[in-house]
Amino acid sequence: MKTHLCLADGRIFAGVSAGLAGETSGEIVFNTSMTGYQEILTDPTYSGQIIVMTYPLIGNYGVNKEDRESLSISARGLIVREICPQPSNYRTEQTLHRYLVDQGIVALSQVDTRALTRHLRLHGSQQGLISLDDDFDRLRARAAALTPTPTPDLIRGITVSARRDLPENPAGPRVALIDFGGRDYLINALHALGCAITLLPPDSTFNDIRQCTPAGVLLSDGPGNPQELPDICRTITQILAQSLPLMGVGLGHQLLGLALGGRVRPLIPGHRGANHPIRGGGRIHITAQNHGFALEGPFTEGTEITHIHLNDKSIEGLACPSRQAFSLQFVPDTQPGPHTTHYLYEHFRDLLLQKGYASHA
Amino acid sequence: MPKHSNIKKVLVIGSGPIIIGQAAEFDYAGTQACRTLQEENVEAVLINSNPATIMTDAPMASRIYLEPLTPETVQAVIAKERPDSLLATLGGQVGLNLAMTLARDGTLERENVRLLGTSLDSIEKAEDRERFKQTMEEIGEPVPESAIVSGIEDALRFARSIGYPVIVRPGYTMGGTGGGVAHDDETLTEIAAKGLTYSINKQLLIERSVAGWKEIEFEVMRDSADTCITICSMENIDPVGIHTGDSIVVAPTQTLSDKDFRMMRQAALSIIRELAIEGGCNIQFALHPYSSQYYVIEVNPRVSRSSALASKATGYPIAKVATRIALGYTLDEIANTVTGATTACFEPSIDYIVAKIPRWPFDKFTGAQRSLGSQMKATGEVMALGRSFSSALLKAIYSLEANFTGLLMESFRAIPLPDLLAKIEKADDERLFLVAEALRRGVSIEQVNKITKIDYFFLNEIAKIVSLEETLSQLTIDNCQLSIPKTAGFSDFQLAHLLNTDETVIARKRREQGIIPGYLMVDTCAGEFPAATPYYYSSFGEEGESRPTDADKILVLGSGPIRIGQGIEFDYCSVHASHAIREMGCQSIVINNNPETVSTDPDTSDRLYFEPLNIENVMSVIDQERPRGVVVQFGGQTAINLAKPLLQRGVAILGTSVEDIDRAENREKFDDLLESLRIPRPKGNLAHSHTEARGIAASLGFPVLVRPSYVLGGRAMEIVYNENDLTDYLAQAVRVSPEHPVLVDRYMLGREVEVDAIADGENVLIPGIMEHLERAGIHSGDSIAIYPPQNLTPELINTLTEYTTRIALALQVKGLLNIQFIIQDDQIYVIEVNPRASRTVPILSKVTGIPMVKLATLVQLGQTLSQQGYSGGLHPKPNLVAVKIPVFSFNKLTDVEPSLGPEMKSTGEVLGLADTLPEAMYKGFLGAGYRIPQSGDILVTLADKDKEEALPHLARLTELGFGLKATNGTAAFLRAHGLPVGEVRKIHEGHPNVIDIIRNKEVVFVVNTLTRGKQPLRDGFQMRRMSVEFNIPCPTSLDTLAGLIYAIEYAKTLSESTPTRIWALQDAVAPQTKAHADLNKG
Repeated sequence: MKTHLCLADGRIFAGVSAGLAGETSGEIVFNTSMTGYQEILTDPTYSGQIIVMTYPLIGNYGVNKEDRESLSISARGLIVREICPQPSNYRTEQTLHRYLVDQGIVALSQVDTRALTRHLRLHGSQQGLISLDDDFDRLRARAAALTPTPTPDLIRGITVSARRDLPENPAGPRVALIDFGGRDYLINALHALGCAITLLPPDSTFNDIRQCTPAGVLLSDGPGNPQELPDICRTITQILAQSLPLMGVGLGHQLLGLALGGRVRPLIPGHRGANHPIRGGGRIHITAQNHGFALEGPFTEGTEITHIHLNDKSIEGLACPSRQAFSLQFVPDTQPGPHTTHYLYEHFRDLLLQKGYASHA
Repeated sequence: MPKHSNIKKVLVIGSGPIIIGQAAEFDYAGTQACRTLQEENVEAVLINSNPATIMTDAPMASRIYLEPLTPETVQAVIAKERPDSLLATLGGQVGLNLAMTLARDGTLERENVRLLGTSLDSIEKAEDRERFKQTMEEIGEPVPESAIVSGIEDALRFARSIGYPVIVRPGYTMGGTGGGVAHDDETLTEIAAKGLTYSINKQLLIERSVAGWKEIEFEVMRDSADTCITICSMENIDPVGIHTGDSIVVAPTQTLSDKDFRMMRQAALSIIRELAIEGGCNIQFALHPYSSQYYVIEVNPRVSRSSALASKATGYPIAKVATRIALGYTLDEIANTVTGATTACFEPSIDYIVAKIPRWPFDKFTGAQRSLGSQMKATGEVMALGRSFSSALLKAIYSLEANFTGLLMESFRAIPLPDLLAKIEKADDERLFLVAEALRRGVSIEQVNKITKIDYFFLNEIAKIVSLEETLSQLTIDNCQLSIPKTAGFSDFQLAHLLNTDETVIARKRREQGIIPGYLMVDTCAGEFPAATPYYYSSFGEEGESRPTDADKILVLGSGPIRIGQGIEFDYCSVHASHAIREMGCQSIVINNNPETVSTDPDTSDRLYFEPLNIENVMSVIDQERPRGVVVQFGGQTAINLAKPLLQRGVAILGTSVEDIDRAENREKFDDLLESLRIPRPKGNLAHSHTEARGIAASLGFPVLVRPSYVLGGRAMEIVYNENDLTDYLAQAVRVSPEHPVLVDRYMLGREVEVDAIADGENVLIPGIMEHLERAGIHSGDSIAIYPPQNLTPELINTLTEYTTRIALALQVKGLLNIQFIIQDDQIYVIEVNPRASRTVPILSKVTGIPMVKLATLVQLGQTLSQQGYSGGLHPKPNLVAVKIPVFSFNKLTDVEPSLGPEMKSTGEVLGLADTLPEAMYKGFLGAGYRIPQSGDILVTLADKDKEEALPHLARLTELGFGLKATNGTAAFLRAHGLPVGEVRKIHEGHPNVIDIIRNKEVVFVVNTLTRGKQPLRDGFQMRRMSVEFNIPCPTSLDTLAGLIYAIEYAKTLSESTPTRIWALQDAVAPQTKAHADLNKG
């Protein structure tokens, strides 16, 4: 079915419906990963976004239950050049098309994704509307009127709504994991390290945190703009004041940066893909990323920049040793992506176990 | 870490002649290495015996040694040049092996030469079978289980312990004789019993067979700071079992889930880390199709064919980055020149599909077994990029230049289904098309998968193309919506075939409908960053991003895949043409599709279009770029064949006009031309039918030389000795028709000479004349050629110069010209005129110092020779002798007849450079891989016609201390003429026979001349094959034997105190500067 994407700036791309036929809107972002479409679709940090895959053939190995990052798709839509109708892999359970339909996701194929990507690179990520409507004037007017979903709304629905103590490793050091949506990798990593975990909703106060008597706090990744979450920033300032071990990843990293006096700026284009080179800890790592904002200094005294992005030199890691806090823009050892940054979790564990602050820079 | 400050002078080892498995990719890598060293202000010293390479051009390194790639020569170069470092990982296996030898024998340490990049220990860990296995086991990376056994019981015990199927490889046999795949105890018993009889050391290697598994490759890089990145992943459409060089390969992987992809990537990175490679590395895996079980099959601790492919596939210049890593830089210190903004430390992301298809030599070796297996047989490859699988695959098919109608081969329609399925099972070079034919006939994808193990994904994609073909064949031009097949990658030619119309009709119609391709960039980053490198591929149905400039632009047509008859020398010419255009202040645009080459390095041109070289794709680029004109003289027959259709479409062909090209190539017009110039040529005529052919032959008298008109590298050219052979030839080798006439010429047994010239319409500059060692009858590409000529009188040279000048002026040649002459009884005849660059241009450019391609290019752009400081006439010969020796790949093609004839068989060449002929001949043979014997026995079997003539040669060999052995006929003849000779049995006479004594290395070389006629004698064929397999020289022409005797004589004069001298090109040849040329004028 002939379907169109209309960007907020009025540019229209034609395609055909490849998932649920219908309408959707959201922030249009491109991802340069060549594999991992299922992981990306089910990554909660894509909440509110319509993902453009730059690799033109998507769905080759189908979809299975094992590889999903969460039970449902958080992204609002998918845009591809071509969707593979007959996937081939021994673990295939469903075609991507079937999966999208089942999940109620609107998707578009046969789109000139290269031109769309170049447009987004030049003009930045923006809101867009996928619709069956072929009245272009009406489409443009509607797309222009789209406003970004407020970050609290993006997060609501993908996080826990109340405190939850996970049963694993009850005797281990307890981590208060403040969940902005991207909790799953972190839970696995912390469990593997022998930590006990208390999940807390994103609007938790310092008091809520203190009540779980954690050995440390972990701020998870999540979607959106950290500036739209001022309350949690205040909470982080309080955690810092107590020098409680604190680790932030993704959105959590940006929140820590704000609490340390920094600012965020939008990235044009955002970092979305599995090939982002990061320098830090005396090494270079290729990381998977999904974010549209980057931190900028100056930060309060005692804050160190520990990791930078090799391409645009943006800040990818911070540390405030005197406060036992550190953060990373990327989620160490995520899927899809390489596994070379596990040492960062170990560093956090060492902080939790009061081994003192050894520079991980 | 920045560059090591103590690196000032680096020795770079090249890979030598082009052979199967080692082609132009190492010129690309070596050229990038030399350029990088220059950029880093490091002095480069280069050794490579292959003259047809860009890397051996004088400006590429401060000292260039066109010398044999032997440890002794490299030692001599080290002693003379005193480099502080050695860069060996860019010269293929040849370079790597030499470096290992020099490291092991202590040369490097003694001479204080540091091995750059990957250490010797790392190389050995990857190369030594046992150490590799052990290293992989240490890091938990699985390699296929294997064991060496010496009995059937042991074989069975081991096979049962690892499970079937297993591969059986007998120890020390050639070409895998006696091996096989066993699926159970019974077949293993049978194969092992046979293998043990073949095995020289009575041992067998039993290894787990992973045939049929997915074959996955990773190109990975590592620097001294232990940063590891993957550049490109590749998946072979043909599963494990067919050499990756003979497989159709796609990038990136298509059928791996993210989880499996990451598993393989992680394994690749662990391996490169454990091996501590500093530079690039290629890792091959076998991945089980129905689980995540995998094995590491092979690691190449160096830049390889796959890395050239990966570089062109992603835009990431692996060799350049590897060179900088070797100099001490880390990945993050190296700029990504493609984006201009980022560093080399990232993993390319691509937003297209890449398909590579090998180019096989079976059009030349018609009798050869076309089946594919573990021994690579392809001479070259093509690559294509597309936004869909079908468009990438189809464009790659068109790039093979066989006028393919996509996946459809009409001739396959007649193959009965059982035969078709049997052929598919056997796996040969045509399997892709056979699979398509099977699917077209309704064979299920499941069944094809069962037979071929080709993944369902690929079969589905092939089926989609076939089904679109079938749909189209039901339509007409009027009711077909052209945008659909165009987006799927169908060519106009293919559409014309399916819609039953003409290609031009399709082209016109789609243009009217605005269906034209957009050109997308290869940018390493899937559009994430703006790219600075203008490297494009076409795509239909998408917005283009190539923005043509208003500059003065010239289009250079490349030469496509490396094949016998059209090799790396044409890439050499294309590259120089592009450089010359840029020097003139114009922009150069290159179209080519060979991923191995320097011409497809985006640095070579202002704009690179990676496209098939057919009229549609070339016209589309022209429509896009609107160049001032097109240069067609440098891309071999591929480019020149496009001249006429381009002209018909209103495109300006620069240089020699299309009409004049036709006058040289069209036999009747050419005869008229020679007639009017009163230049003789061998009598002959053009036959348009069988009867006409027989009539011409009868009037000329046998033997006659027959060939189709418009030939490439002597394809289907034969000497025919009688009427029966002629009838056979006409029935089998060619299809003669009024449109495709056959040339029938008197066969003259004379001395062959070839001349290359540059003409501007007024003056004709002849840089040099090359004389062939072998008399006519052996293709010029397979002949040993000598510069300057040694046996021509001044009168003959004057006449050759005059004829060449006359022909060039009469044809109004503007640019290059090559003429083949034959001299019989001091009479000169013209055999053929090629109005384009020839195979010998790189050699003559190097040995005369005249930049021939540059001059020819500037002439085509409108500058006269005199404006460039040159005048006409024969260039004075320098004080050196250069001998070109052809190099063959017979050991890779086990059933090909190694004797030489009018059909070209060599894949590459080397140059021997010295100041005397014997020395140059010696160096040439050495460079070509011959072991030049000093003593021992020679096996001689001669055709009757050659016996008399052979006597003086054999007498000389006896004097030199060699013994002769012969079968009874030849032996009797030799004895009768007073030569001592030992008699050997023929094959049917029992043991030990001629074959046994070759196999047991009782002879140091074999002289075997062919009896007249085409049918090879079984004995002779087997002797020649056996010589190839045991690497024993086997000249099949007495002229070649004479050359070999020169080399032997020279070798005898060598001693430790007077070794061969080595020459840097810069010492041997003074560059022809303008001042020089002016002097010459006077």
